[in-house]
Amino acid sequence: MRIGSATEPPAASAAFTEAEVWAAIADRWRADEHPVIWRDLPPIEAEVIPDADPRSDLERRARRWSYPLRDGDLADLARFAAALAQTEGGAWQETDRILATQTFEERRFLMADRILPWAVPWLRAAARCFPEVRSGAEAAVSDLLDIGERHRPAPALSGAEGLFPPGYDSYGPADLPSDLGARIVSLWGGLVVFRRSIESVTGGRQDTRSMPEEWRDGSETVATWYEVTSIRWRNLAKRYPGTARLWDELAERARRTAESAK
Amino acid sequence: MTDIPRLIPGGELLSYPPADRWDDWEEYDAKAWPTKVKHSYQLVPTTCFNCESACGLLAYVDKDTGDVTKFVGNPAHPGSRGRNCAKGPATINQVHDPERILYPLKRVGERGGGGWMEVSWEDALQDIAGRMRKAIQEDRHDEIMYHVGRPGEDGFMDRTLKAWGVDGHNSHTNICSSGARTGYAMWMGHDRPSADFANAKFILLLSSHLETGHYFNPHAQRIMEGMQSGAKLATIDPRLSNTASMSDIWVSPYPGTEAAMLLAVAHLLLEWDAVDHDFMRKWVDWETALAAKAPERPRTYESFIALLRETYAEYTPEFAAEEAGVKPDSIVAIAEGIAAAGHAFSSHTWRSIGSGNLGGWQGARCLWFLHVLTGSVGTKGGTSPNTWDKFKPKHWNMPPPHSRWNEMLWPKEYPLAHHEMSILLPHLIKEGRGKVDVYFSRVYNPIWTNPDGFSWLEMLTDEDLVGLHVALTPTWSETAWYADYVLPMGVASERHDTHSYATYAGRWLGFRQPVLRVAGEKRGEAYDRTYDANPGQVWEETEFWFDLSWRIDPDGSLGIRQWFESPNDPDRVVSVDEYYGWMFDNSVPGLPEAAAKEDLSPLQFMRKYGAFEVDNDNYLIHERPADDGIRVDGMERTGFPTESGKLEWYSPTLNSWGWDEADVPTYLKTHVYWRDMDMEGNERILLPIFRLPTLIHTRSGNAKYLYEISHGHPLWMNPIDADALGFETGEMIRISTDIGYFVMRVWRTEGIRPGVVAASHHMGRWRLEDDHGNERWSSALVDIQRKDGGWMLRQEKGIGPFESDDPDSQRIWWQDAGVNQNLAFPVHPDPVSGMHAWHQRVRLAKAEVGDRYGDIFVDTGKSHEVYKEWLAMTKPAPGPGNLRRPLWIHRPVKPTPDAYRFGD
Repeated sequence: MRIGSATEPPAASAAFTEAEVWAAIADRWRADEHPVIWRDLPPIEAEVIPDADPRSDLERRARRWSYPLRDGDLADLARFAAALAQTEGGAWQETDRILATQTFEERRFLMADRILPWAVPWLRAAARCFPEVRSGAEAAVSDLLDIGERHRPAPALSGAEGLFPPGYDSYGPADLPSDLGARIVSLWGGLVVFRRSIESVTGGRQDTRSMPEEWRDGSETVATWYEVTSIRWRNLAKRYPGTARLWDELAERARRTAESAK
Repeated sequence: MTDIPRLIPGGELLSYPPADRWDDWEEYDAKAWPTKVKHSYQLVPTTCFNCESACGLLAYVDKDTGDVTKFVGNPAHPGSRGRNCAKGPATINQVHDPERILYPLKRVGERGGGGWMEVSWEDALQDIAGRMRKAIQEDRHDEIMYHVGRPGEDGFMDRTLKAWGVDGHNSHTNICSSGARTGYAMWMGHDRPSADFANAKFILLLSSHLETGHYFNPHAQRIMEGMQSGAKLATIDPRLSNTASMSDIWVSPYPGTEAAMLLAVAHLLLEWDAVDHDFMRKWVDWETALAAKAPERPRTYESFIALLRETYAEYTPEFAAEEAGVKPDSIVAIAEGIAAAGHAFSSHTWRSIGSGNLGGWQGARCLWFLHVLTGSVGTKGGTSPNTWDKFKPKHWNMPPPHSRWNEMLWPKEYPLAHHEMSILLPHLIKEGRGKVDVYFSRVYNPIWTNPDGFSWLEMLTDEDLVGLHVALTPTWSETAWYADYVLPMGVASERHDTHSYATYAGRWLGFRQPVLRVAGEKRGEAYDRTYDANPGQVWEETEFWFDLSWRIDPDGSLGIRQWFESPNDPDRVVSVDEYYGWMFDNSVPGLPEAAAKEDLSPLQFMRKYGAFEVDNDNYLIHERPADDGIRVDGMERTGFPTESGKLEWYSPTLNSWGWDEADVPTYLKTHVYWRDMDMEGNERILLPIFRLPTLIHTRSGNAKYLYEISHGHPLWMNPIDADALGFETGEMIRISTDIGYFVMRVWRTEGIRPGVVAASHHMGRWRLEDDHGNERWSSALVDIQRKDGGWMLRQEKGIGPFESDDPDSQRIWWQDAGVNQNLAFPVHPDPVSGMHAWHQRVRLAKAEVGDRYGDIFVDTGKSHEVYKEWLAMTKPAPGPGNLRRPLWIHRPVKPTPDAYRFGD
């Protein structure tokens, strides 16, 4: 890995520094490092949001840069972002402004579209459910949110200024899963729910990552759980204005899930 | 530690639907938001028809409704590469324009009276063809004239007119580019440049005409690439255009003095010896130059260089700066940039000096001189002749040239005019030199676009002078109003054409096609004619000319029908598939092979992709071996299509046709030379030839998107002038020309140099009836009256909301249609190039009591007097060999050599 020096342009140094952060995330969140978590719910967008299918989009982005895409999990995408940041730094050093700005732009959208919206919720949930990774997950969340502040891909805005939170596109919001069971296993409900999360809330053994039968007709516990989640997302949005729109959106989804659970 | 892979940027556009899914593409309906409504589309490539550059478009044809819903860029098009300016996507407005003409119309009542009736295509064809047949049978071929505004296709009308045996091709070129073309042609035979912007190190633009508003898209994207790779951009333009504002160097000279600046650059390059002597020695015809200009000197290359240094000794930066009203440092900076760039120096000029000024054609000649000195001719990052980068396919069954010479188009007074003397037609007719029996105006609007439009109006309303006027147009125009037939022709997605333009060092061929017809045929529908698929009965010209030609000579007795008979069945007219199928099968290198790889015929390939790149990396073609070329360095090479086969600093043609004072690159004083003007008083130079990047002459009047962006028409005036004359922004003033005046509002801006005022030529549309006759998105309702021996045009109503099937027409919030300033300009035909010199000497005064915004007054009697004044500057043919015109200079529908000679 290329390390910045004191004589580099500031933009190159910033890019190299960010590349190191991404590389560290890629290194620490490999599948073989955390088999238990992976068996519960792997950090892959299509798993965290079952209705989403980002594969063709990822392949398009990777093809543009000849990046050897693997399974599109957090480590893979962090590795892609690291490579983009690394390339950006080199381009600034060589005064290749076109390449530098292209890699910056690509990384900003990769992060905003395909990493932050689901990876931060997944890491925050993992930190709560799996004590063995808590510190590492919290550090990764902090790193991602700090990078988000640098790029500011989803600032809190007053109206429809052309930016869309996850689950929205220019044609409007993605449909919310219709029933509570589907919401609970999708981030579109407002929260990443591991199987272990459900066990924690119900206090019993859970064989699959699915909604317990007793919640079928509503649950005050679930309602409270999602209400608290909504407040947490709102607080996060206040602390990180550069990505606030993402968290405000999840807060709203969590609020609606809480209402539907009552 | 994680291994970070090395990334390799691809550079291609990936945000477009891939071509293999164009037949079955799904997208959500944006207007259905927030509901998600999915639509299925066929994506059919075609070509933009708004400006000349012919960028690729991709039409979305809704499978359920059969309508075109939008246009985006065609990523498979080598010239535009999927990118478009605002004018491309706005094609959708032109397709769905509620004001458009959908059926053939025939005049009812007097010409220009505004009465119309729908007629069938067959009735229209029979009437027009019958009149043409009679003219041809009576040997009145010269009374048939085809006047083209926007050429859609290279070579098609050349073929058609040859088949008729008619020397009747008229064009808009003498209000456009004849000046620059002449300047280039006198150097190298080729009449326009092709700059390799993307690979340049230094780019020099004389004005920003093409790069801001015409070739805006394909050129601008490559200029940006060049600049992103480190190239410096210098723009010489009296006005701060968009391009000038993004330039490293902006120089704002008095109009017409640019040649002095360029020669000062040449002076410096010679002084610094920043000259590619190997190139010059090989490729400049210096021997002939020495023999003519310094016969007493030794015939050595060194003598020639010494002659150049002496010839341009007086053109110091200080002299040129004084002449142009700029700083010497600016000229030196440009010279340094060119010298440092060497072979990677690219440049462009098209209108600017060439179309604004008497003698303006020398601007292009002086600019090309810099390429010759630096050897940046045909090099990577340099500038090539455009024919190297433009592909011309062969047309099927090409008739031989005719042997006629139409003196209404090629009058003897202008033997070197690069194109037809179109602007003079009303004056030539007024002088009794002839008349026109059948006049086709084809996507052309001379009443509005040409100078001296009221003389056109007078001519077109006199049925003794113009027997039948047929307007082929997609939309209403000021000229179509004075037609006998208004025949609706397709816009970009409703017609077949082929085209190719110089955009980089390679050649491509584009294919415009009627997308609803193509989409329907893919679904198994069959169409007899394109108007069966187009909206209403909007036709395409290819089929129109086929069918018209057939009806001119239904039994073949005139020898015309043979050129339009189907190769498969001589009893029927050739089809578009047969015509273009032959072209793509037989005349496009590499296309059959590329098509075969996809198991397609060449025609199917072009229908699928809409464009094909024939070759690229076309550099130094003059060096390539050629059997019939010029012998250089011991072998026959391609060279240049001049008389000598080399580049001609000294032009024997100019010399032998009487222009010895201008036979080498030199600085000619313009008709608006600033020292000759009363700048202390109220005289100023009017610069009326700048474009708005979002409009295109009269063709964009039917695009609501574009008029919502561009709908202001101020007179640019520097605050120094405004203060001296006491004008404030928004104040109405009278601008008086030699034949009349017009009334506009002032805009004080430092974006124009003192001494010069400017107004775009893209505004000022008008109509005579409230509810038809021109586009209400863009035109003012006016009244035209005879007054004080002249014509008075007065605006009754500006642009405003109107009722139509399009709810947007009720949402119009802009009001200013602008002022048709060209009406008040007399003709200024340059005696060499034939180019109309657009710039005007004007007098500025406060508006008078009773004046209204948009008032235009013109005395056409005075305009005829000005015509005669300029005619007196000419040096008429015959030239050497009793010729009407040099044989080697380009000419549309070129006749046989014997037609070039005067009879006994």
